[in-house]
Amino acid sequence: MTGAVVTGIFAAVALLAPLLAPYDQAEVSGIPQLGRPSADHIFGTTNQHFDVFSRVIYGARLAFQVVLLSTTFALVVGVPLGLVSGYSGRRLDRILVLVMDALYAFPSLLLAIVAAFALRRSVGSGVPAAALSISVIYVPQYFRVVRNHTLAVREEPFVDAARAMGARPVTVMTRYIAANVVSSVPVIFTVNAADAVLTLAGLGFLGYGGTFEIAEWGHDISVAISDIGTGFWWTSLFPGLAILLLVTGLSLLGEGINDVVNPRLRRAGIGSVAPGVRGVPEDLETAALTASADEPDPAGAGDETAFERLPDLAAVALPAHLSPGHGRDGPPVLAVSDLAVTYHTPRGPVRAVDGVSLEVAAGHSLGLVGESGCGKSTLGRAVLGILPKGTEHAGRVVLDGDDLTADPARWRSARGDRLALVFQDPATRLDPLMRVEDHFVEAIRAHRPGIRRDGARRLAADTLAAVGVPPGRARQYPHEFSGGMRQRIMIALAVALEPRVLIADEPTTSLDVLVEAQVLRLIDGLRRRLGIAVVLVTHNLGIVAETCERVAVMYAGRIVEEGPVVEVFARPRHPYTQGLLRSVISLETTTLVSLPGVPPDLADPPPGCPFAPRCPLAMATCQEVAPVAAPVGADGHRAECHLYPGADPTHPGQAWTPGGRRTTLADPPLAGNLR
Amino acid sequence: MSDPGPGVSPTSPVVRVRDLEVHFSLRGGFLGQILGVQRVVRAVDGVTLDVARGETLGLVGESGSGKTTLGRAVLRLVEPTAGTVEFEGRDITRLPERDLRPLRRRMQPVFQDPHAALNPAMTIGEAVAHPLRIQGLCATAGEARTRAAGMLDRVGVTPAATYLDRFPEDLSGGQKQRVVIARALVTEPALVVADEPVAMLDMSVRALVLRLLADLKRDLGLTYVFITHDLATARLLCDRVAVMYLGKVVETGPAAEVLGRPRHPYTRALLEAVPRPDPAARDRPRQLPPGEVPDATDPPSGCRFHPRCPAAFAPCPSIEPPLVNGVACHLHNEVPAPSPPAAPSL
Repeated sequence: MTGAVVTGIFAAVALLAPLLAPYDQAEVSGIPQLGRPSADHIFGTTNQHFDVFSRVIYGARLAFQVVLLSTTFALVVGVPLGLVSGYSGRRLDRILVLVMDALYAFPSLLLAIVAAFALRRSVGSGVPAAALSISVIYVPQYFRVVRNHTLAVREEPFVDAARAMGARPVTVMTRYIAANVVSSVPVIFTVNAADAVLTLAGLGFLGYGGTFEIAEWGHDISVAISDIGTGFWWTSLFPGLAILLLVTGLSLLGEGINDVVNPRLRRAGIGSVAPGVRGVPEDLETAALTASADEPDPAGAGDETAFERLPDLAAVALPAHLSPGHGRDGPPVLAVSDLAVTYHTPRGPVRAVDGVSLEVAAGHSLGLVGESGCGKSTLGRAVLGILPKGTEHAGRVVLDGDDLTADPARWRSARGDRLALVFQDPATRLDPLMRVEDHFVEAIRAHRPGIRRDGARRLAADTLAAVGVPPGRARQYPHEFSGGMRQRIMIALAVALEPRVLIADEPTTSLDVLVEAQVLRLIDGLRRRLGIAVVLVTHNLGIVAETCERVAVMYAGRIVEEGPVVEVFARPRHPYTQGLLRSVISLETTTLVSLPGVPPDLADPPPGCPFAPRCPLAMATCQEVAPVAAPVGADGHRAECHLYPGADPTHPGQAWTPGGRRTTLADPPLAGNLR
Repeated sequence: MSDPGPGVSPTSPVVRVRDLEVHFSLRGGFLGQILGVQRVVRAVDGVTLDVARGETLGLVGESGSGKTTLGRAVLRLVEPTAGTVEFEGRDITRLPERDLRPLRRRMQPVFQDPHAALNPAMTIGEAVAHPLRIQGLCATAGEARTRAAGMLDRVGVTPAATYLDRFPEDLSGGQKQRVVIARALVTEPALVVADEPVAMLDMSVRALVLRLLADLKRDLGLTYVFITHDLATARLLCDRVAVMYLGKVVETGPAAEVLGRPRHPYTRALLEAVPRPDPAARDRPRQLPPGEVPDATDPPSGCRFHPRCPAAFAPCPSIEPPLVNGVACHLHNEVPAPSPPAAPSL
C-alpha cells in the first residue's frame, strides 16, 4: 500500500514535470550559483546554475521513461522467449538457456555499459538507448522465471488435454501455459523496475547516462560529489533521496503485488490466535523414536539383489530390543476424550473435530474412516499434537494414564517416542540428503541421548531387518529405494523405539496394491507382536476390514459410529455408515451405489444432526437436535443417530458411556434410497 | 453420434495396436552425458491389442506397468518408438500433427486428477467450449458456449448456466471430473481413454462418476479404454481387460474370465491383494509376491515376472513366454512355440 502511494506520487511528478518544475531542466539564466535552499529555490541551486528541485523532478521523468521502457522491453522479449524455450524444449531450449545464463552471469552494470557503448553508434545516447542497454540485464530474468514455470506447467494434464483437442502450439502456449505462468511477471516487473532505477543512476554516475541538458539523478550526483566536501550538501542530497524513495516504493509495491498474486502468503497472516492456543510443535521430521537403553545385537549383513525375497514377517525373529512386551488388552493405552479442534480461517472458525472420544487398547487397532473433509486426518494430528499454528484445541489426550494435553513438554517428548506416526507419502518425509541410517541415528539420539552413534546404527539395522529392508542398504539414500521400501523405512523409524501408539495416516494410499498388502501385513504383524496400539486413518473400508479390530466412522468432525469391525460391517447402524459401506466397490460388486450429496461446510454446519441433509431416514428431530452417542450393539458399539434410543440429549437415559454395557437391539433399519 | 468415418466398417476395431513400443531415454547425469551413457525406459515394450467398437477395454496393472503410456500412445500424446497404432482404420503412428488434428476430436482423454486437468485460468464454460472452437465445430463463441452448456447439463453439472462463468477452483473434485468428462465428450468422440478417472475421488463419489461414464457410453455409443489399478472397478465396468506388467500384456480376455478365473500368477496375485470389505475374509490364504515392480530400464530376462513369481520354474528366467490364448505364461503354454502372436480378436 505504502509502495503504491510512493510510486504513484513519483509517477504523477514524472507525468506532470513540465507543470510542476519551476524551471526547465537545462535552464540557467537568472539562477544563482550554488544557492542554499530558499523560498525561490527550495532544494537550492547547483554549481552549474541549475535549480535542484527542477532537476530532481525532470530526473523522475527520465527515470520513469527509462524504467518503463526497459522493463517493458525486457518483458516483451523475455516472456515469449521463456515460453517458447520451455514449451519446445530440445535444441532451441538448450541454446537459449546457454545464452541467457551467460548474460545472467555477466556483472549487470558492466553488461549495461557494454550495451550502452554498442548502442551509442546505432541508437544514440537518448532515452531509448539507455532503456535498451538496461533491458539487456532483465531479459534473462524474465526468461528464466517464465521458462522454468513453463517447464512445470507443460507437464500438467490440462496441457495434455489441450494437445488432445488439437490445439496448435501457439494456442497451448498462450491460453494454457502463459495464462498460468504470467502471475509471477508483475512481481518481477516491479523488482526489475526498482533495480533499473539504480542501474540508470549507476550508469549516469559513471558518465553513461544523463548530461547537463538531460536531468538524471545519477549524473547529477556525480557532478555534485565534489560539492559535499565544501559544504554544499543540497546538490547531491535531493537526487540521492529521490533514488532512495523511488527504489523503496517500487520494492514495497512488488511485495504488495506478490501478496495479492500468492494468496497463500496473505492467508498465513490471518487467523487471530485465540487464548489457550498452543504454539507450533517442533518440526514433524524431528519427531522420532526412542530405544531401550541396552544395546542390540549387531545386524547381520543383508544381501542386495534387484529382487529381494522379502521375508514374511511372521518368520522373522524380532530383534532383541523389539520385545513382544506390552501384551494386549488391559486398560486403554490411548484415551481421547472430548477432543475438539478449531481452525481459524478467513471464513470464520471451522470446527474440524467436534468432541471426539476414543480408546485403543495395547495391541489393538482402530480404523478411522470417512470421506475427505470429515476430520479424520485432523483427529490423527490432534492426538499427536502436531496441528498447524493458530489452531485451537480442547479436550484430553491420555497416553498410558499420562495426560499429554496437560503438559506440552511431555507431549513433545512422547511424540516420536511413545507416540509414533507414519504418513501417506514416504518420499516427502525422508530427507533426501541424509542416509537412511542417519535418519535413525538423529531420531534415536534426539530421544535417547544416552545411546551412542554406533549403538543407534545397530538399532537402525535391526529394525530395518525386521521390516524387510536388508540392513546392508542402511547407508543408502532415500532416492535409492522404491516407494514401498521407503514406507517400510518410515515404519521402521516409527517403531524402532517401541512406541505404545502408532498413528498411520493413509499409510498405503500412494502404494500399489501388492505393495499395499505387504505394508499392511507388516504393520499388522508389528502391532500383534509388539503390542502397539494402532490408529489407522484411511478412506478405504477394505483396508479396515482386513486389518482393524474396531472402526470409528467420522462425519463432520464427529464419530458417528464406532464399534467392533465385524459388528459394524455386518450391522451398520448409522445411515452414513450404511451408505459408505454400500458405496464400496469390491470384486463382488455388481451394481454401483452412491451416497448422494457432500459433507457439510464446517464453517457453516447445519443445525441438528450433520448428516440429516443427506440422510434418507431423517426425521423432524434430526433437523433440530444434534444426536449424542447411543449404545446400539455388543462390545460398546455406539452410534450418534436418532433412530436409536439414548441419542437424544434432551431425553437423557441411555447415553453411551465408554465401556458401556451390552445392549440387544433389533436388526438396524437399513437406509433405503441410497442409490 | 459416433458413426465410423468413411470407409470404416462398423465391425472393424476402433483401435488396432500392433507390436507397439514406447521407449523414453533418460538423459543421464552430467557424467553420463559426456560418456554418452543413455538409459532407456521401455515403458511399453511390444503390445498388440484391439479395441472393438462399443466395448470397454480395461488396462490394468501396477504403476510402472506401462498402462498410462499405452493410453497416451493411443491418443498420440507420446510418440511411439516402434510398431503401429491405427485409429478407425487409419495408421496414426507417424501422422503429422496437421493431419492428426481433425482426428483428435474423435479420440479424447479423461485424466486421473481432476484438479490438474482443468486450466485454472479458464472458466468452466471456456474449458468445455474451447475444443469446439479449436476443431472448428462452432462458428461463433456463442454457439460453442450453448453447446458447452448442453454438455455440462448432460454430465450433471446443473444448472449449467450457473457454472459457465465459474472457475475450476470453485468446484468439488467430483464436479471437476464431470467438467473434464464434458470437455472430452463435447466434440463427439468415438473413443475415450480414461486414465484412473475416479482414483482421486472419494469413495462415495466414485460410484456416481462411474455410473455417469457407463450411462454416457451407452447413450452415445462410445468406446472406452479404461486405465486402472483397481481390479474391482475394472471387473464392474470393463468388457475385456488386458493385464500389464513392465510394458507387456501378460493376460487378456473377457473381464469376468480374467478377473474371475485368472491364469497368470501375476493376475492372481493382484486379485488376492485387493483389500476386501469383509472382515470375515480377512484370514483367507493369500500368496503375495515379494518385492516391487523392478526398474523398467533393465527388465528381468525371460518372463519379466519370474523373479517375483511364486510358480516360476525352469524356462521362466531364460525364455520369454509369448501371449498365447490370452496368457503369457509358461505354465499355460508349456512349449514356447513359434506360434503366431496373440490373435488380435483376443
